[in-house]
Amino acid sequence: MVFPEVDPKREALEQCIEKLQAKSRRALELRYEQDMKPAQIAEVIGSTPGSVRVTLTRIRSALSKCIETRLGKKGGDHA
Amino acid sequence: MPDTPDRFDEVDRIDAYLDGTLSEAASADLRQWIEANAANAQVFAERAVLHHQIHGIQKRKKLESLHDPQLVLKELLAMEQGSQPVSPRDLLDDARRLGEAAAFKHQQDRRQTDVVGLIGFCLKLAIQSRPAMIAGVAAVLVLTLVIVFSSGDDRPGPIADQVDNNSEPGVVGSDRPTIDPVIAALTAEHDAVWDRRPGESLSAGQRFTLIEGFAEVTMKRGGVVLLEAPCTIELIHDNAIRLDRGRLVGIVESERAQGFLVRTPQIDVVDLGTRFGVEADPTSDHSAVSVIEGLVEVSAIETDSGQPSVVRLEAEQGLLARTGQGLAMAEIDPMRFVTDPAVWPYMIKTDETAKFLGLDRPASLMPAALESSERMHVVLEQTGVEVVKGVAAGITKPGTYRSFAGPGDPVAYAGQVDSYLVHLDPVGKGQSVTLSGEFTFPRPIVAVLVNGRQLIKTDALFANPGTELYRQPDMPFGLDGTDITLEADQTDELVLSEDRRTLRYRLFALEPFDEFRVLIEAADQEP
Repeated sequence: MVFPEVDPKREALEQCIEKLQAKSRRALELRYEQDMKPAQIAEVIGSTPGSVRVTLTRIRSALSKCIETRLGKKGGDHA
Repeated sequence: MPDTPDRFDEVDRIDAYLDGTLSEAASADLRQWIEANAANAQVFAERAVLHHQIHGIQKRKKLESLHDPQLVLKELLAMEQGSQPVSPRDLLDDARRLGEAAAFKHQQDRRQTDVVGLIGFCLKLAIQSRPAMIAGVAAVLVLTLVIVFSSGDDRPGPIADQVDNNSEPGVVGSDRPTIDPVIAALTAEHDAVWDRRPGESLSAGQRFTLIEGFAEVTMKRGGVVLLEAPCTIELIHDNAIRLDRGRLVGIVESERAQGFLVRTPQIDVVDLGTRFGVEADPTSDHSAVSVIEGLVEVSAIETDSGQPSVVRLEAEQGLLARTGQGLAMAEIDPMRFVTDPAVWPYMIKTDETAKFLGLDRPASLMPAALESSERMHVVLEQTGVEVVKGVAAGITKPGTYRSFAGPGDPVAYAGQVDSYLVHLDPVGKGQSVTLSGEFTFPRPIVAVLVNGRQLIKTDALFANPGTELYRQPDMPFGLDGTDITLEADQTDELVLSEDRRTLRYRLFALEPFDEFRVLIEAADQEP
């Protein structure tokens, strides 16, 4: 009984989420923890559905970039 | 993949699809775009995996926070009341902070295997979410898989593993909660007997019982639990377990594992970087905590007042919790808990009348050095000692013994033994005490050396050289047999069970103390 190998991308993602500002993390919490759709999130945070969609996309893209950066650093560290 | 404006448009569209806000017509367009080439399919897969993984991480956080449903509700209300729109400036700040992220520890580049996982996930997500998209994704998978496998690396990736293990046929929709299936590993065991089949993975939600023996389970976050049978636990997530009954020791040494949670029916114990023991006893409806090192936070799951009670415990502190009665500081002997796997092969099962010192060997067993009128002490003296000819013992066979005089019978066993010294020294000078109970050894008892003469003759072989022993032949320190000067209940009695593993005793200890030595078959027989 052994662990599968740690997925470095997932590990990086966890670290990147921790780096987000509180408001961005809140948006993720509402979307993923509370399973809210953008329209529902908009109601909660007093915004518009379109703005929430853009916000979520930016957060995801920022996370994606963060993962790449961290994985790149990892490779460079051991080159 | 270049960050062209076109790609940003497609990422927006993929996100809208994954968020469930894309219209049917736009979904059809997206499908055509995915069908166009393998690169597009990979863009879709990467974004879908990102979505999937964020979902898994956030869901796990939610589970971690569910200590008290009322608190969760309060937190949600607070979030609603205090919420403000997320500004672009915040996002830019986030991006800058993300760019300054710390370096990684791991060095293996798993890009290729990740691609395999991405594609697997992409296909599964499409199957679960929008059946109409299957054909489009599948068409480009053929090309992509050829590219990937032609590189010579055909190992299944971790993401693919997750997806396979999370598979739930018939579940529709991309928002299904996902948690890593395997969240712990069995990293050590000794004589362990489980209620599960060998080879089963340790996944979230699994509940299992250690029927016999000892085991070490390492959580994915790095927290370690040492289990002592009998105990029943349930894995909650990769940094939390539930202890329904029995004892365990939690060890948190890595920063990543801080916050490790042990939940019992009565309490939550959150480790703040430490080593601690937890016991749950469903028959008496209580839980106990003893902190060996560091700091833990203990909260009652429910009290009569309906308010949680929280206590922080430092090293050498303990508490008891009963259902509905909150928390009460108490002296919990840390020796109740096995904190070092090295002692597993030598553990003896005792009742409340005996205390096994584990790998701790006292510097002195002279009179008054280790006093107790409530229980005897059992010291592991030496391990793996060869029994030589001429060793004689008062007990070598199963039976009931009340006479302990004489040189004893030769020990017939040929091999190596582990030796234990049992020591009962009542508190105070000239005091006496009677104790009755039993202990069970991990392997068969070869011999019991019961009187001063037998003990003195075997000290050179079996005693711990670092322990000062009292050896005055004129003061009897072995067991007292039937004597006309003693009442019937003032004699010592030992009963060796038929399987030679359990020793029942009734000891009447007088000045200076009672002592006897037990030899059992060695854990490791070296050639």
